[in-house]
Amino acid sequence: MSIEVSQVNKHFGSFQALKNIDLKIQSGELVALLGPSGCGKTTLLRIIAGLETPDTGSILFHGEDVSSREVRERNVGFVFQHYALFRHMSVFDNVAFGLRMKPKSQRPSEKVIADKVHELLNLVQLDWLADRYPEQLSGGQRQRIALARALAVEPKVLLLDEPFGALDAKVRKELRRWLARLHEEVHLTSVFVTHDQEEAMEVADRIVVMNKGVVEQIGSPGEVYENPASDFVYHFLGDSNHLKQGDEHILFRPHEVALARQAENDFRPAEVRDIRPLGAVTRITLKLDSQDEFIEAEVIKDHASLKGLSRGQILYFKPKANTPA
Amino acid sequence: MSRRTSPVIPGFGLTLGYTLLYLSLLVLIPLGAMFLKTTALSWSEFIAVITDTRVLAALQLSFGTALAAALINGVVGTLLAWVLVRYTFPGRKIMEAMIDLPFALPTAVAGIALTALYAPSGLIGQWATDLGFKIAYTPLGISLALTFVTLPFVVRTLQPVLADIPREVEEAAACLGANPWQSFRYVLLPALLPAWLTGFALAFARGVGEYGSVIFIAGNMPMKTEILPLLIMVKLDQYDYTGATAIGVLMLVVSFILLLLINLLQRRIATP
Amino acid sequence: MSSSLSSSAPFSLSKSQGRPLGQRLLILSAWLAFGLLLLLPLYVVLSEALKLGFGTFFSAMLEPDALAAMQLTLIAVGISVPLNLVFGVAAAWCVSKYEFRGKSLLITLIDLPFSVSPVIAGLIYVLMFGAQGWFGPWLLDRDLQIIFAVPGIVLATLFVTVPFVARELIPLMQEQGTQEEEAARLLGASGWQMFWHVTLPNIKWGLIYGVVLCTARAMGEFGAVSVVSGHIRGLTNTLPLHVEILYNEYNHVAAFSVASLLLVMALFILLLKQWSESRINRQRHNSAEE
Repeated sequence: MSIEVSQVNKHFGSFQALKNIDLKIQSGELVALLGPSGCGKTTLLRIIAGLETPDTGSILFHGEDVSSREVRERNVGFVFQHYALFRHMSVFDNVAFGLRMKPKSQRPSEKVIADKVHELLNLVQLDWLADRYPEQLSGGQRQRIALARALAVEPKVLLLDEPFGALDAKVRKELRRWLARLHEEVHLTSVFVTHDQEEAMEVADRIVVMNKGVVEQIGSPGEVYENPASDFVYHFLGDSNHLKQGDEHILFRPHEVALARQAENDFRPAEVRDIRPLGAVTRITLKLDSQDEFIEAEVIKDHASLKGLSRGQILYFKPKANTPA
Repeated sequence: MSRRTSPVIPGFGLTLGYTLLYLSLLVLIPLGAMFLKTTALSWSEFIAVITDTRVLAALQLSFGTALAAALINGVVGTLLAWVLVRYTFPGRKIMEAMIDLPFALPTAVAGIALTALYAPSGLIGQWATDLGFKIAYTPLGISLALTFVTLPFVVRTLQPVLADIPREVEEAAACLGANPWQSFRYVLLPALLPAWLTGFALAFARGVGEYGSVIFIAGNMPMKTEILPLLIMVKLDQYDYTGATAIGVLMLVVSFILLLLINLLQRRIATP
Repeated sequence: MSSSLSSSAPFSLSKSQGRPLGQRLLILSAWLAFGLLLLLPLYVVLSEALKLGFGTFFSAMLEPDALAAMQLTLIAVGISVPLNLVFGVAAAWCVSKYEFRGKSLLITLIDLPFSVSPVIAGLIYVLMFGAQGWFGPWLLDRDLQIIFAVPGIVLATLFVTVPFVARELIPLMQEQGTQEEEAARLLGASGWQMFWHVTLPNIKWGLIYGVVLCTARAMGEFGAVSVVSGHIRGLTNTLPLHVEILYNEYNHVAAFSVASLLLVMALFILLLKQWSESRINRQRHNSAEE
C-alpha cells in the first residue's frame, strides 16, 4: 500500500516541528527518515501512524485520505523506540494482544490466535521465548517481539521509530541485516526513523533526509551520497573535509583523496599530525599552512604512501572528486 | 525527543471533568463556604476574635509546639533516614516497616498511649517526676505527641534523595581531603536540604492541625495547654460558629503563609 | 588489597569487629530514638489493655457499643475508600497522561486536604449542613440529617482521605508514560480495552498501596469525625471516638483494649503496605533495566 504525505505542518506551541512536508512512498518500499535529533522525523512518523494530528495537510493510504481516521482503524504496525512491550504480559500474550482486541464478530478463536502467534514468533525466530516476560529478554529479543506484535494484526504499513537505537553496536548490525531480509520476505510498505546514516544506507530502498522540520532530499542511498542536494546532506551522510583554494571552498570525503610522498602536479603539501590505523583503512590527519582546519585522509592500510611514515613529516595530497560548496 | 501528549489516549474531558467536580463538591465549595461565613463578621469584629488573649495563647502554643516537633524530627528523622539508607544492621527491615506506624495508627490510640507513657504515673512520666518535671499536660508533652505523629515525614522525604546520591560523591570529597564531617556538611547537606525542608514543612503543617493525638496529653487548660483546633471545638460546643470559623480561617491563612515562605526558601536553595 | 592493609593496621581490633565506631554510634542512637519514640507507645497500648487479663480484654471488644462503633467505622471506610479510589484513578489519569494549563494548580488542589486541620474539615461541613448552616433549614424541612449522623461522618472521612490514591498514582503513571497505551491503541484496542488490559495491570500495585494508606486514615480519623459526630453512643461513634469516650470515663482497660484492636489493624496495614511497596519497587526495578 502506498503512503502519501501532502503539505503537512505541525507546531508544538511556538516551535514548528514540520514545515510543508510532501512525501510519496511506493507500495512495498522500505524508506528511512534520516536526520539529526529534533529534525521532526519522529513527529512525521507519528503523524503517519495517527499518534499525532497534523495542523494542516493530509495523509493518504493507497490514495485514500485517512487523516480523519482513528488510529485503531488505520491498520498500521508501529514499533516504538523502546518497544513499549506490555510488561505484565508474556511474550505470547503481547503478540496475541491485537487479535484479542478485535470486536467479537471478527475475533479469531483462541486456537487460530495461538497458531498465528507461533507462526509470527517463528518468523522472528523466537518461538522458544513464548512464555517469558519482557523483562527477561535482551534488547534485541524485545525488538523482534515488538515487531512480531506489530505484524500480528496484518498491518498494511509498518512504521518503526529508531528500531535499533537502544541496542549495542554488534546486535544492531545483525538486526538491521535481518530486518532488510525480513522486508524482502513480507514485502510490507515500511518506514523507519533513524539518526544513523550508515543504518539508513544499509537497510533502506530510499532515504528521506530531514533537517529542522523540512525535507532536504529524497533519493536512493547512492543518490543522496553521490549527489547531495545541500551542504547539510553532504555533511550529514559522512565525514567531510573543508579545503580553501583561493576564493573557492572544496568539500571532499576522507577517502576521496590521493596521497603521495613526493610533490606531484596539483598536489598540496601538508604536515602529518596523526596516524591512526583503523583496521582496513588508516586515517591520517594533515595540517595545511593556509588554514586552521585539519584535513583527514583515509587510505587502505597498505597504501604506498604510508610506508615508514611518521608524525611531523610532509605528505602531498589532492582531493579526487570534489564538490564545490 | 521529549514525549508529548498524544491525541490517541482517550478520556481527558471525562477524567478532568470528574476530578474538578469531585474536588469542588467535597473540598473547594465547603472551604469557600467557610471563608464566606467570616464575612458575617465585620473586619474589626474579626480582629477582635483573633486577638483575644485566649486565641493568641492557643496560636502561639499550636505553632510553637508544631515547630518544636518538626525540629526534633528534623534531627531524629535525618538520623533514621541516614541509618536506614546507608547501613545494614540487625532489625533494619523491621525499623524500615515500622517507621510508618504513626501514619497507620489512629491518632486517638497514639494519644492515649502517649498520655499513659508520659503521665506522672506512667513509665517515663514517673522518671520525669523523680527528676522534678512534668511531661504530660505541658507544652513538652504536646511537642512529644506531635513528634510521634509527624515522625515519618522527614524520614520518608529524605530516604529516596539520600539513596540517589551516589557514594562516589562522598568518595570524591574524601579524595579531595575532606573528613567525614566536612563531606557531610559541605557535600551531602546541601543536596539534602530541599527534601529536608519539604519533610519539615509537611511535619509542621500536620502538627499545627493535629487534634486526636494531642487532646489527651495536653490537659487542655485555657491559656496554657489549649491548642487551636481544640479552641475551634470549644467554640463549636458553645454554638459560636462565627468564632470557630474565624479561628479556622486564621489557622489556614497562617499555615498557608508559612508554607509559602518555606516553599520560597526551598526554591532559593534549589536554584543557587 | 585494602582488606589486607587494614588487617595489618594498628586498629585491626575495631576493624575485625565489623564497623567503625561512628557508624555503630549512629545505629545505636537510631535504635534508641526509634525504641523510645515508636516502640514504647506500642508496648504501653498492649500492656494497659491486658492489665486485667484476656477476659476483660475481649469483653471490652465485644460489648454492643464497641460492635456498633466498629460497624460505623466499616461503613465510613466502605464508602470513602471506593469513592476516593475512583477519584484517584481519574485524577491521576488526567494529570499524568495529558499536558494542560493549570495542571500544577490542580495537583496542589488534590493535595489540599492534607494541609487542612481535620477539625477544620469537620467544621466546614457543619457550616454547610448543620442546623445553622447554609443548607440547614432546607434539610430540616425535609427531615434529613447529615451532621451528627452517619452521612456527616462519611463526608468528613471522605474529605481527609481525598488525596491518598491520587498521590500514589500520579508519580507512578508519569514515570510509565503513554507508550504502552499508544501501542495498545495502534493494535486496535478501544479506550476501555486499553485501560483494563494495559493501564490497570501496570498501576495495580500503586493502586493497592494508595488504597491501603487511604483505608488506614479512614479507619483512624478522629478530629474531623469528632466534630460532625455528636458522640451518640451506639449510633454515631466510630472506633476511635469510642476509645475517647471510654478513656474519658476512666475505663482505661476497655479504652486500651479497643485501642489495641486498632493497633493490630494498623500493624496489618503496615504489612500490606510493605508488601505492595516491594511489588512496586520490583516493577520499577524491572522497567529500569529495559
